[in-house]
Amino acid sequence: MPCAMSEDRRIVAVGVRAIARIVAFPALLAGLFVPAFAEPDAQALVNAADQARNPATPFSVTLDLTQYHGGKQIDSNQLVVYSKKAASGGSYSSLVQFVLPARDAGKLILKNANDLWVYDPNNKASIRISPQERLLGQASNGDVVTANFSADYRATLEAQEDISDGEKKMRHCYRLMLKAAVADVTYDHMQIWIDSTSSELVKGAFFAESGGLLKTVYYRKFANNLGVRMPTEAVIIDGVDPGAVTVMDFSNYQNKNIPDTWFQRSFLQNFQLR
Amino acid sequence: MSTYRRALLSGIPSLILCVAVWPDARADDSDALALADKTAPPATTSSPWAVAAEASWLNAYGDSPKSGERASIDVGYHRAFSPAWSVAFSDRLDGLRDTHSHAVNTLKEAYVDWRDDDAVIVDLGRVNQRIGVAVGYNPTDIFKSNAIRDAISQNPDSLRSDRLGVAMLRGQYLWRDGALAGIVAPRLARAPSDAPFSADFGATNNENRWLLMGNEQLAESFSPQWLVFGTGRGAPHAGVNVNAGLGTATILYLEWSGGSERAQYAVATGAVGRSAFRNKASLGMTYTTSANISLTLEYEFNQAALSGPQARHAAATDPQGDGTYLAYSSAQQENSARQTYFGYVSWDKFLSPNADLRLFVKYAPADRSRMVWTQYLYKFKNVDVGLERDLNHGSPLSAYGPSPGLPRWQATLAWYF
Repeated sequence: MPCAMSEDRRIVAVGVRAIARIVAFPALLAGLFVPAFAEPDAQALVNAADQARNPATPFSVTLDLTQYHGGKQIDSNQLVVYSKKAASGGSYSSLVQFVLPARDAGKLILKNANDLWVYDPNNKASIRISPQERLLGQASNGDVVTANFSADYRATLEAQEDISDGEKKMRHCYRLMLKAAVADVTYDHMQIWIDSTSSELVKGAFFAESGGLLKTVYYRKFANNLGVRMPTEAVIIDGVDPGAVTVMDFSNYQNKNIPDTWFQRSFLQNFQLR
Repeated sequence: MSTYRRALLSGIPSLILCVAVWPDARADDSDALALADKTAPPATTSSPWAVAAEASWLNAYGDSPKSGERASIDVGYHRAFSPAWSVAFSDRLDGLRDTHSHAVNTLKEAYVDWRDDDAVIVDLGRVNQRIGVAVGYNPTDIFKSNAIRDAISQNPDSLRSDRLGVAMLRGQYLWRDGALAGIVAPRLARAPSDAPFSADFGATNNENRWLLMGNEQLAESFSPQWLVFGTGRGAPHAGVNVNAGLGTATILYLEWSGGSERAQYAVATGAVGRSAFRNKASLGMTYTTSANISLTLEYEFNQAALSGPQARHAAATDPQGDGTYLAYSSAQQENSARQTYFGYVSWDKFLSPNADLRLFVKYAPADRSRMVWTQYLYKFKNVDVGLERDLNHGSPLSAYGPSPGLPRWQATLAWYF
């Protein structure tokens, strides 16, 4: 069933579908050579969703995380994330700068491939951390850096279904199961829902190796940034304690000339505001 | 039963399970989404200033009990005036009152930075250059010696944060997968100063030192850092820092340095001692649980330090010299025991979403002495309330035996601006 959208959103969606079709062109081309009734290629769907979510050029974005527990705000962070697609393609490298709260200002998280480093300007320590270590409450480090699911996970199509999205509107979606294809990624496996018409990532459920639900994430408030229609808010609900909620707001997207040297640990002590 | 019906019936339990587990917009999810609807992110902000103020109340309750207060202000400024030029400044002023009142200023950093496209970077001035991947003991961190003017805590993080930088010229060349750095730190003064507001270059720059270090990614997730350093007299030392991930929860690390040097006891006491090749190393791992509790275990080895029998002999035959040795080791931030075990626990959200618990133990097996540090920290928006306990346990002249001002409690209020 098509999504219920206002007229202007529908107009924007037409443009987005056009972009999604362009970025998914190789997959569509492949589709020409399979029978018309065949299921869509799951990996191509994830790839299209990645491209519909992430700018192709290096960029920076301001990220506000607001954490709630039991309906009360317990913490908040403001970060600036600098991201660039690795020269080898696929995954993104990201440098995350803490802006707020004041006690954490200047701290950095570096994600290069699946390596994570944290830098504290007070003690000048660059420490490698494991993907499991969280620095931002319910949000994992993998949640705040730019993720390219198609590079790290292998997808299978589970179903097509209508779901209520993060703005409580019905969308017709592909439900995909993604399993880790490389070592040391943030999640062992995940279910994601991708809008069948816009290729927008609408919702995700993320699981530990044990099969336990770690978190549910709703992606919402889609808007155009740097030529891509992307979610500008993610609502993270803890899998064990649903009262633990983190809201991530993305704003102030900017194209940025980011040298490759930023994405190695020796640079961390040299990072400075510009 | 037809294949079709069998498939249909076998799928029903799965279908029921799916509906049970994944009802759309569950009540809980609706509550979360309603919370998100009400969320208003703060305005974007950033400042070149970092200012923190602290007020602490100390209570030493051992054989020589005393209480006191400390007020501190920590100011940092880091600003780029152009893509090429920037300045950095960091200073901490502590005012203490116990049996008497005094002040200690720690000029941590003051340097000018020039860079070309973040690939060539040159710094000149006082820089806090920290080296090493280990948590409890850093044998490659050659700039740690004499860097502490006033130890406000035994916590390794605090000892690294509140230390003097070293006056140096530092040049770095960085490329995509590696970096090369060279440092020259000249001798500027002969001896440390006790003057409250001294820049104290006699502590950090009382001999000429140089260092070369580099790292290059040799394989995915493997980028060891190699070092060569020296003082301009004697043979240079070598070092390496390496770490690796094991699964999604564990980081392994090794830090090593080695070179020809005199025994630490001989250097501390001025006794005669021959130079020999001596190894120093930390080997450890950090494991993080799914509940975000991090546990670090580290084995530390310092071949320049006294062995167990040597330490017992020194304590029995030359207590004064042994005391000098322990004080010297502490000032140099070198382990005084040849072998030490270190354990560190960091428990975020301990009993409360805003509270953290930190604890570490250093244990010298040769004399069974130990240092135990515990901190409970409750974080408000821009204020931290902390309660800290420092405790040494061991016989006199043991590695972590009785120490002035210990054991003690310390309550701290910290404001961040």
